[in-house]
Amino acid sequence: MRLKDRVAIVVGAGQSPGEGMGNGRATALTFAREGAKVLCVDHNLESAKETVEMIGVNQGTAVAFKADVTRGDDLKAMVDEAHARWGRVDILHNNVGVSLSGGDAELLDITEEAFDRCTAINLKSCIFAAKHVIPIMREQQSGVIINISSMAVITTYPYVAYKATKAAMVSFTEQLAYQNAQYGIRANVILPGLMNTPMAVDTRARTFKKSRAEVEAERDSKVPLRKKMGTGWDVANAALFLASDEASFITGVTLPVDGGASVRRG
Amino acid sequence: MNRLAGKTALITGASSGIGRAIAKKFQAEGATLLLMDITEAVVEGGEPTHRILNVPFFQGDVSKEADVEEAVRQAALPTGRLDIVVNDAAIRSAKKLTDTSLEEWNRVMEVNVTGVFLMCRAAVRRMLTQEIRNEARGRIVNISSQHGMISSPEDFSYGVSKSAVVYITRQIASDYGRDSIICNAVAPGKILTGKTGRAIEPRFIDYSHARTPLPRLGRSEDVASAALFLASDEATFITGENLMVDGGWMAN
Repeated sequence: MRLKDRVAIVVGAGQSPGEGMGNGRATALTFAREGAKVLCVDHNLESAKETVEMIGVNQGTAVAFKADVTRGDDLKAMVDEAHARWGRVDILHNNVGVSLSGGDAELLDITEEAFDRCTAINLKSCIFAAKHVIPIMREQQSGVIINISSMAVITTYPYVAYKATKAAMVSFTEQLAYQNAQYGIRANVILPGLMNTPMAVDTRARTFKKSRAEVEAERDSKVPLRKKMGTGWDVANAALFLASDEASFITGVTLPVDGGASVRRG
Repeated sequence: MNRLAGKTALITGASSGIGRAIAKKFQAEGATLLLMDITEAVVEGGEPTHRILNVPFFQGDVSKEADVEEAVRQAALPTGRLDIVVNDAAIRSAKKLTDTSLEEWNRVMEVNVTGVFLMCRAAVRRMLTQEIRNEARGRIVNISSQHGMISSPEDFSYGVSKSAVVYITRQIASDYGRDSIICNAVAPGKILTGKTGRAIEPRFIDYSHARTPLPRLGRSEDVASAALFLASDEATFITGENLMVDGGWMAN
């Protein structure tokens, strides 16, 4: 087991309504399968509990925790909970993010309220979660932070807040990496591309009043590798690699998990 | 330890350093191996890699078309497939631009660029004839370098050649993604491979420590772990990437 006895916090371990497996849930299941104790954090406690139940079925260790990630106090309570319960925090995985479901829009349509909300959920959350976990990791002289950004940073994307906040996560992760490397702490960022997850597919189907199959076909056609979207497991496997000791010399990197979208031409 | 069980891999530059570490790791994860190198001698010393692992060795030059074609043929013999190719073979000239002779330049390009071209071409031709298994027809892992992205101190042709490797990787990923061929690169930072001489001159070690945020420099195993990840079924939606294994150097 590659994360035996590690303590992990997965923020966004529940998932949006819809079919299939989200990135956060897949990551929580993968970390637990590899031996980590996982605090499954979500604003939707019921969804986090579902993740915990799925882990329990496989004899893994996990606890659900409710947090509104736009509130610093909740993020502190989340870190304190993992630390008090298991005595350390080895992995912080920041998986939350909203675009359309947070009211994100094109420039001429976006409201201040929607922009502030998306920024608080996507960017402030990852920065303040790190703020609260870093003192513990410095004390331990070890720790891994994984931020989930998006290929929207590199490729074209229509809505303002998601693009801007996900790009900021990349710069923040680099800063986190070089400022904390001396304490043995690593920080890396994953850029998922077009994924077949409830948030990406079902949210669009609902918003644009299309069938799930229509949205799937449209997105599949844009992926260079196999003309098929990725799954939550692809992100989870990349996170597992980056969280494990196998990546102990890897920090500050931006890893696309995108089926080649970043090299697509035309 | 079976993340490469049932897979056949050909590794170039497998006798020493990073290539040797990759060979050991891949075998530990269950791969069937053919090791290729121009010599079985181990740069950092020790028993030849293929003897330690008890696997076949093909002595050949990656810049020679016939050698590469034969290596690919032999690699696929035991299982009828070639699932993974790791292009690790490379040489340096250790010269600045104004000191580099045409012969030195040509030799670096032959091994580091033409060698990767020939091996990728032979491997992709072979892989295109294979069935898709676990979402891939075949996988290529090229060992690039942070050099080519940042300057390679006093090693002009090496840096140029390694930037070509990154480009080759992206182009293959793009052209053959539809065929379920996965092609990625690993870009090592400063790795202490056990090599002596110029590689561990104090001025280069001091420079590397100064630029590497993590408290230690790299080990061959760090690169081998990244190659394993990209060669395994865990990385089925990652292609065209150049994964840095550099202790944070490039983020600094």
